[in-house]
Amino acid sequence: MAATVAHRRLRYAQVAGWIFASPALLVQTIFGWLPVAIAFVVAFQRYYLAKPAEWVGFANFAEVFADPLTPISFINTGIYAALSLGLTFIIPIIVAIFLLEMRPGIIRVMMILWFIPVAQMAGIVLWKWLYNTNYGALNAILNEVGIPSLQWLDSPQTAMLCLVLPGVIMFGPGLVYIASLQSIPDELYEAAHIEGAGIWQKIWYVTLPRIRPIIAMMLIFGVIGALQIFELPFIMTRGGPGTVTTTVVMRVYTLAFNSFRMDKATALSIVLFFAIMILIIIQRRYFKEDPDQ
Amino acid sequence: MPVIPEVGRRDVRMKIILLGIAAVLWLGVIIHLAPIFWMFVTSIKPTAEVFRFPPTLWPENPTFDPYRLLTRTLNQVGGGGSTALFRYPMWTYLFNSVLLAFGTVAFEVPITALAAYGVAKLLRGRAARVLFLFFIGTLMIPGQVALIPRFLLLSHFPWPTMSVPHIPFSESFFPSYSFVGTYWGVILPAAFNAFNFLLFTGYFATIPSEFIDAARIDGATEMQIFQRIALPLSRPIIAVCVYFTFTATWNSFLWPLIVLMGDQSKWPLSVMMYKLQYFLTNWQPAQGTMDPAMQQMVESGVGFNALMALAILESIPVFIMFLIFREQLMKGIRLQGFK
Repeated sequence: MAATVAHRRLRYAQVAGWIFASPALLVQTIFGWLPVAIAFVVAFQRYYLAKPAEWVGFANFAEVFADPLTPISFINTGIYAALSLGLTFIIPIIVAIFLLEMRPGIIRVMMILWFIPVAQMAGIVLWKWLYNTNYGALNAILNEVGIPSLQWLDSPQTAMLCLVLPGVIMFGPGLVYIASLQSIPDELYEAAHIEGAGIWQKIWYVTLPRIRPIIAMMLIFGVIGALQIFELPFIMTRGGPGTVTTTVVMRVYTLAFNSFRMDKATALSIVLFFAIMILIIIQRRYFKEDPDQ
Repeated sequence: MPVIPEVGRRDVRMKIILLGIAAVLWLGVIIHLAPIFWMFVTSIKPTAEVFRFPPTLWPENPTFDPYRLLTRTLNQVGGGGSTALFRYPMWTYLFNSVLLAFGTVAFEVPITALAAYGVAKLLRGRAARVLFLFFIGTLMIPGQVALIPRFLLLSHFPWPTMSVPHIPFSESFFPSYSFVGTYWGVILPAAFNAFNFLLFTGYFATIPSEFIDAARIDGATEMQIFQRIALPLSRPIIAVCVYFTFTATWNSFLWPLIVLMGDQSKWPLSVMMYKLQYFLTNWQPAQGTMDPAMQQMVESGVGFNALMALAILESIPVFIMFLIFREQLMKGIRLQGFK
């Protein structure tokens, strides 16, 4: 008797589970997976205004690879990703480790000052204003110390560096790193201390191995994000001067919404998709880790 | 936890190292705050002072005029007449941003939390595993692949094709509905978030099943259990998800630009600011001279000071959200089990 009640209750929970999941299921199917599937249809078709779409096989991909802007945009994206990750990825980790050495009161104050957030668009227009060649604060500072004005975003030599610089200046400790650092048990440091380890040794042998999974995860997200960079070059430089800051996603946007070649644009985005996939697979293979081993 | 033990802090060498670390951190804070300071200073300068070089460090005549832009419309002068650049007072755009951000939070967080609870606590066996993968699978797919198809899908829902197909053997088309140019076009695709789903499932899994079984024996329905047991226990993680969703939507630019491009009355602040800065930089006159159209604009009080005023206004809600959720945020991120 009791068994059947429990059994019925379990089946009821299953039904409830499906009901609970159904709105999300609907959204994820329609807006999550369906567009990905459509992408692989759109990329193999050619669209016309007046005629129905035709299947064209790999013609869109052939066009993408024949386009001189494709290799340029991939190289630019690679340069941006390498520069921004190389210059900015490690800073939040160091700052987070340093921050936790401070007294709790100071941590609290610093955290608030550091996390005075600037909305994304606000940050971009602010930096564009700082870089302004005629009235910008950066040129004023340079002139003050006797250096002639720079062209910043308008010069092909510095444009890409200028896109990365805000990330270097407006850095802060990563919230995720702080949280994970706080969960490292004190005993580990005590044990290291008893064995005579110095500060740097403790950071190297205790702290870093402990937060390695987080670092690996943040690195994946960082790479995926950096390779899809769009807003920064789109607003700051519009891909220029010339094509030195034209990134892949900017090309996708321009092809789709300025040249109205949605088919070719989708083909290009699929090429980028596979490039990112390959990177993720390589990362997974070489960064397998388990901190507790 | 601190690397340097409490007892070791009296040592002179340690004291020097600690001082050095503190100096580096404070320097970082100052460098971080300097651009924000500049944003504020520019926003309270009169327009004529903004277009002066070298710039003044503190405005000679501080004014809050640029903030008055909030209640005004902007006209583009030149080309033989004046056309409305922004046809609506600025608070319209601010309101749109608020509406989109809260709208997305209101749909996304409950939908995602319910699904996560269903997968983590109600469904069992293969159904739970398959659903879990179905929900988080899109995390591994770069978002821009779906960009154009999603736009096509929304522009004549539910037909994901370039155009709406004909009903066979007739001249008429299948019915379709366009979400382009509506708030729904921004909110609906964001109504489920795989990353937040992952956070929620990880958290719900830590709730002991005994609690839930006990409530079942007491005759509570599954919805009541969710509301009275699961939700109160998961306040930190809800805070994290609300904060993430709010800031992500508030900052989003590309998708609202694509969907709402055609209808200026629905632009969020980010799109409007993009348009204003585009206009300002393209009208930038050579130093010393001033092009007449720019002159008129400057006289009407619009320049980078207005843009910076908008930038400050855009940043304030994000900061308020951070202050509200700070404690919960730290707790939530820690408890989630990132290790």
